[in-house]
Amino acid sequence: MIRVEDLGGGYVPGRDALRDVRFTAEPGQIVGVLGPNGGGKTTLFRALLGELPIRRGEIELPGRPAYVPQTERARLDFPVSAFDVVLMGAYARTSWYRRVARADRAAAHAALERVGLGEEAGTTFGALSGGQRQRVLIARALLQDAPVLLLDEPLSGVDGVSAARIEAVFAELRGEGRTLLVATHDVRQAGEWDRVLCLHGRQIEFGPPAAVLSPETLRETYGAELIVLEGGSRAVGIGHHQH
Amino acid sequence: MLAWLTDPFASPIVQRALAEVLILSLACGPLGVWVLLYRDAYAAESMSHGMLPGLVIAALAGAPLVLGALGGVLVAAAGIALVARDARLSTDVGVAVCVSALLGLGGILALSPASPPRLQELLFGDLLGVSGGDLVVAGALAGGVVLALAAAHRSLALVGFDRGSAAALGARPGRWELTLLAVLGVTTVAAVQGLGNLLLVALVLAPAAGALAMTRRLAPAMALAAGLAAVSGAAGLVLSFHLEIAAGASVALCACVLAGLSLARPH
Repeated sequence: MIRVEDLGGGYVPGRDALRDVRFTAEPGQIVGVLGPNGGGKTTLFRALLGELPIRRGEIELPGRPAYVPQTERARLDFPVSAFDVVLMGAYARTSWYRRVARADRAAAHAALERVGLGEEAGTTFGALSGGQRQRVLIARALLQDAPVLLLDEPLSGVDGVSAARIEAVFAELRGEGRTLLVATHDVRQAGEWDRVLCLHGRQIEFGPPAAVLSPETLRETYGAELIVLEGGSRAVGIGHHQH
Repeated sequence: MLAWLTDPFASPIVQRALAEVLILSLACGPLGVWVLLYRDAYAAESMSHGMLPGLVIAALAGAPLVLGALGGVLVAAAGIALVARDARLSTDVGVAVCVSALLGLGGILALSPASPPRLQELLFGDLLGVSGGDLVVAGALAGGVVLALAAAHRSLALVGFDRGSAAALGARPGRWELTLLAVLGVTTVAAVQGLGNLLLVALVLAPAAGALAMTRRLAPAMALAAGLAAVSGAAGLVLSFHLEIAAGASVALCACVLAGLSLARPH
């Protein structure tokens, strides 16, 4: 179980990027994290990873979370294959003087198969499509075998095939009793998950999608930056990313 | 033809020079790959230039050059860190200001009447003047560098590939970025005797640039960079013997020509 109590903090003293966050998430739940750019989604993840420079409040986690960054944060010119990247998920449990364990290498191949990229193990990471790169980074998180996964906009700008495969993996992870926090801009998608957390510098609302996803809450979450599309089923936040 | 290649190595002086460049290649090649991937090429260039005052003072005092190099690198690093702390300036400005100041100071010291006529040796190295003792020191330093790079390999890969998720995967970015700079400092100290503070950067950066143009995998790039550095070293010594030109400079030029060839190779 994840339990967050009165969480607040930021990057510079005296200026909170996020405050008043309190929620609990059970094993096997997917939590959609909504908010405008700069609304605190990444800040929340940094806090859960123990990497936020200034942090107040309490966080209870069942273990070290795995983190899946936005794919454009990874270097495309780095000389590594898709398999090399997935194997990084096992580095933390491998001594520097040892080869990565055979079981971990097999698990890395299995993780690539699971995201539908078994054939691309030897392809250079930078040569893959955006959606494929995102799937490789998810496979890396799978190899970490963490009870909690934090995913930063894993479905933004990925192709249809990748999105379908990623959502299938989410369903499997939910079945395995892992907890997923997924930052997203897609309100419709968050509506299909178990819980929704709305952030705008602070926690606006948390609960089951049916209770949370009202036009009022969305307006408060996205402020003036909200554009509602498709009769309220989809919202797009516009804004500048700021830390 | 074969004799043309082997003749230079009949002399013990050239044999020691060859041993020195081969030892340095093992450290400089792999390190260069990291320096390029971390976009630290400017820092590498600066660190080696900034230690000139340390070298000159060591030469004036008759102390081992390695000690002067060590002191010079530490002062340069501290100066850069100090200037970079000023939020109004970017790190680049800090590096440029410190390094020019240190190079100027080194020049004043070196050109003073009291200084021994060894400035040239400090700037361009003295590959053919390497002694058995120098070889032992270079070997120990280069061995330390290779060991450190092996120990840090996975952490450096995590941070270099994706800085934002490195900590979640077990590697603190700040710590490993600093480690790389420290290893670069040690390599600089190890290489200055043979190649001088103006030329040693060539053996770090050029083979790595060539290797990264030829392969898209980390470990092969490092092996290739070490190989290219070693080939440049041997080729440079052969050329310098036959053409009677400076050994360190020919090694540096060979490394750059090899890098140029691999970069110009059609993909």
